[in-house]
Amino acid sequence: MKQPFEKVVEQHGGTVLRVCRVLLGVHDAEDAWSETFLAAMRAYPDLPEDANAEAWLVTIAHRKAIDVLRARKRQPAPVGNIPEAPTALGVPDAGDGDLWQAVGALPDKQRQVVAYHYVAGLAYAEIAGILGGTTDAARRAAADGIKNLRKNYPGATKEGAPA
Amino acid sequence: MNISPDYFAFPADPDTLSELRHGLGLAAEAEGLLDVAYTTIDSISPNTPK
Repeated sequence: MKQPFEKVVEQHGGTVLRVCRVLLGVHDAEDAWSETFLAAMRAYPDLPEDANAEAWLVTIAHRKAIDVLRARKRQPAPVGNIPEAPTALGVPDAGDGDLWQAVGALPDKQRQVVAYHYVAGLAYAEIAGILGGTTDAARRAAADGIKNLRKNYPGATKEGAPA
Repeated sequence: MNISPDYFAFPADPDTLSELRHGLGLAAEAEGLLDVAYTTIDSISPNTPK
C-alpha cells in the first residue's frame, strides 16, 4: 500500500527544492518545485508501489525546469548589466555564492548531472534514463562538471566558500 | 581547492519548504486532489491520464 502523497512531499521535498535551485536559481526554483509536486500528485495513483519516488520526482522536475528555461528564452532580454546574486542558487546566508555562480555557469548537461547525482543522489543509470544517452556519458558529464567547478571556483573548501 | 560531493548536501530552507507545502495543499484542494495528498493508495486508478 502506498503512503499518502503528503509523506512523499515530506521525504523528498527538500531534495527536489535543492535540485530545482541548482537547475534554475532560487527565484524560479520555487515555481518549478510547486509545478513538479502538483504534476506528481496528479500522477501519483499510477506510480508503481516499488518505484523510486525520488528518481520519479527528479524526472518531473527536470521536465519542469526545461519548460522554465524555454520560457526564459522567449522573454525579452533584460537591459543593462545585472550583477549575479551571490547566493542565488544556494541557501540564503550559507556563504556559498561563488560555488553557486560556478554551478550556474556550467553547461546545461553538466549542471543537470551534477544536480541529479550529487544533490539528488541518483545513480548514473537513472540519470541516463532522465537525460537520454548512456550511463557512461552521464558519468563523464558529471566528471567534466566537477572538473569545471574545480577550475572555476577558486578558494573552494569543503567547509564553505567565503561569503 | 577542494570540491567534494558532500558540498552539495546543504540543507533545504525549512521555512521555504513549509510555505511551499502549504501552497501545494491549497493547490491540491483547488484541484480536488486532497484524497491523493492525504490518504494511502491501495489500487491503481484506471482513469489517471498519462
